[in-house]
Amino acid sequence: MRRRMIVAFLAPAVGLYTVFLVAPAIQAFYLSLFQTSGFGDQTVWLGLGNYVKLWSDTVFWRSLYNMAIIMFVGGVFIFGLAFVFTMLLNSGMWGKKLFRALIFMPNIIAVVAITTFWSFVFMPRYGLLTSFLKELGLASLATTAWTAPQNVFFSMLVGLVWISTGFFTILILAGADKIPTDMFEAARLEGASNLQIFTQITIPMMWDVIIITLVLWATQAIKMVEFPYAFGGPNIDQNLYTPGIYLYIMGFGQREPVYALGYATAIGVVLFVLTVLAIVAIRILLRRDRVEF
Amino acid sequence: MPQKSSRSRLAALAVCAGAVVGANQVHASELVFWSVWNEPEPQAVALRKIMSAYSQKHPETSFKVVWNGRQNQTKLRGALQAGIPVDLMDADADQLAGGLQMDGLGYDLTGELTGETKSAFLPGVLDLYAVKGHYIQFPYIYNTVNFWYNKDLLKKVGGSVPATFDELLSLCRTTRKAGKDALVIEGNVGFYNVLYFSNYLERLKGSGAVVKAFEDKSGAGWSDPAVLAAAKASRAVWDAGCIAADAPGFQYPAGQQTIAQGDTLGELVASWLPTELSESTGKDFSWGAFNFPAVADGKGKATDLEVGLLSFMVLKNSAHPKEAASFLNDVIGEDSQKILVAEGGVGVPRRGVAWPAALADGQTAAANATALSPFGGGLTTAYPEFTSNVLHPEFNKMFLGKTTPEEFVSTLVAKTKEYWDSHK
Repeated sequence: MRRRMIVAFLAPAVGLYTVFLVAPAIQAFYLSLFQTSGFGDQTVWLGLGNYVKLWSDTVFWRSLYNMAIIMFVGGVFIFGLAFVFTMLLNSGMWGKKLFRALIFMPNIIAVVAITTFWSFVFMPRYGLLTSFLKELGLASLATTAWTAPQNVFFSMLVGLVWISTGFFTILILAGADKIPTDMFEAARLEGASNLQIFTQITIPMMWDVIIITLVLWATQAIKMVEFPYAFGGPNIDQNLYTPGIYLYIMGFGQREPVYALGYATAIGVVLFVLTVLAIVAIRILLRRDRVEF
Repeated sequence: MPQKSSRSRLAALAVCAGAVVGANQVHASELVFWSVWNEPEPQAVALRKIMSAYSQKHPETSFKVVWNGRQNQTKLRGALQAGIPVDLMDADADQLAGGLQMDGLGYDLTGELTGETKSAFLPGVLDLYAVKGHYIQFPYIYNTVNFWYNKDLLKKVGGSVPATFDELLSLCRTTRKAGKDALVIEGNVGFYNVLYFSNYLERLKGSGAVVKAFEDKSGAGWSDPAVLAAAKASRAVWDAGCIAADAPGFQYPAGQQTIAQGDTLGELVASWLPTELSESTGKDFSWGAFNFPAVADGKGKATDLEVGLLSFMVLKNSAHPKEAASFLNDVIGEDSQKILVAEGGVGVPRRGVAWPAALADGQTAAANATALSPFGGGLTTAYPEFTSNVLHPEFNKMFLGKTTPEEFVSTLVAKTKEYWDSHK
């Protein structure tokens, strides 16, 4: 009876999940074995041909490299800043709620608006950063073209770190807020510094939250499209390509009418595999005994 | 008996009425049109007027329009997969050529276009995207690729319109002396920047030279000295100080805004520039345009032109292809073309219809064109993947000084061979 009840309650969710997620994923994998533009019924069976082509596609590798930089370099800055903010906000400082709201604010603004703001910051000649550097008398830095192809990726990354830090700070703060306050009080009575409290109490006691935020960041970084794409504009430079953007360029006919839907789907399948691998790796590498409180 | 007779007459009347209604149902057609414009755009307003006028002349034809915007063709792909009927669509001609047309999904309009229609077009326009003499696309908006510039500023700096490439470089020096920049670019728009290369190569080797170089499957087509010369000439505009040193950082539309601000004389781009900048420049801005100048010992003429057209396409699976084609014959009519100019503010492909004043030099270039090729020399249309992944990014690297012209050429040679090896 109990088993029947479980099946009955699970069936709708499993059914929807199968129809709207599992089946399309399988169909996508099947589509990735063909050469097709998606317009007509003409498809050419390639087997693993799209994947073989991907393996030797320098643009795809470039996009993977960018993705890795976003994930690791961006991740270090985002989580570094998020932990610093968490530490500061939990140190009993005045105006915690106000600062928490300010840090989170970029997340409630549309990505396009945020990227427009950042493009004004970095714009040569009339941009905010250029004007600021000129005021400081740093003429050589002021003439740097921050959005020129060789610099545009890292300019974009600055904006991305800025917008993402708030989101992850809020998640980590929520985890830290759950830790019983008597532990912090006891530590302070024992003479622990803020840094000691953070590393010896806060981090271990919210380890599960940290793993979840890392998984969230990894999946975001792997799927990253909106921010770099909006930053680079519709005529996006290859230096800003992520695999997701490359998928879009190859499958959806932007300025150049490239409609390689099978190839684009193969990129999507690779992204799916990468996401699963990243989650498994984070789970395995960061596995620790659960701390109870 | 009289009753019976009356009933018979009624029945006969009913049959006749039914026949009439039936006949109307057979002939009445609603053309489903998916458009590349967004509804509030002036071009959409113009098309609405044209459709409305057509429906008044042909009451049996009505229109159901979906204003999709720039992703029209991509959205249409989903519609086709879902079996949604669409009769007519429009898009950038290059996009259509590399999309629906390449997949053979356009209706062959050749037999549907009247002689008057065919002769109404400016030189070369209708034939540009024809496949072996068959017309699949129907161009209705005409953009020319020229140097678009501020006439007043040209006078102010004491320059004149250059007839040769050397004169262009000389104009750059004159403009620089006057404290202004002659040209501007958008660092992130590879398909604008490549116009320097494609135009120079076509001036040297003639129209179609870019596609021809690529179609040598050994890659050796790019080893022609003209290709290296075109690459070096593209760099020469930097060396001559034509473009400001900070221009690589301009992300569209930051570069072109410097023209409106009076810092820069002009830009090598299509005739949509005055429209795009109209809010910044105001109505009184004095726009001029000149063709990419002639080059020494070139086979191509200075009147050869790269163009960016917008076209209609009737879909092959349209339920009303003849009605749609009839509408297209009307679109190229003088009245419709005048509406496009007046309401849409665009250049049009019909002979004798005056373009908006700001685009007058573009119209002159179109009327005098000796050969046409698509935007960027046509490689985008014929081989979009190579253009997107190799030509534009590699050219941009070289153009912005990250690689040398020699490295650019050797990359093209290697990548072209690689492309054809994988497309046997």
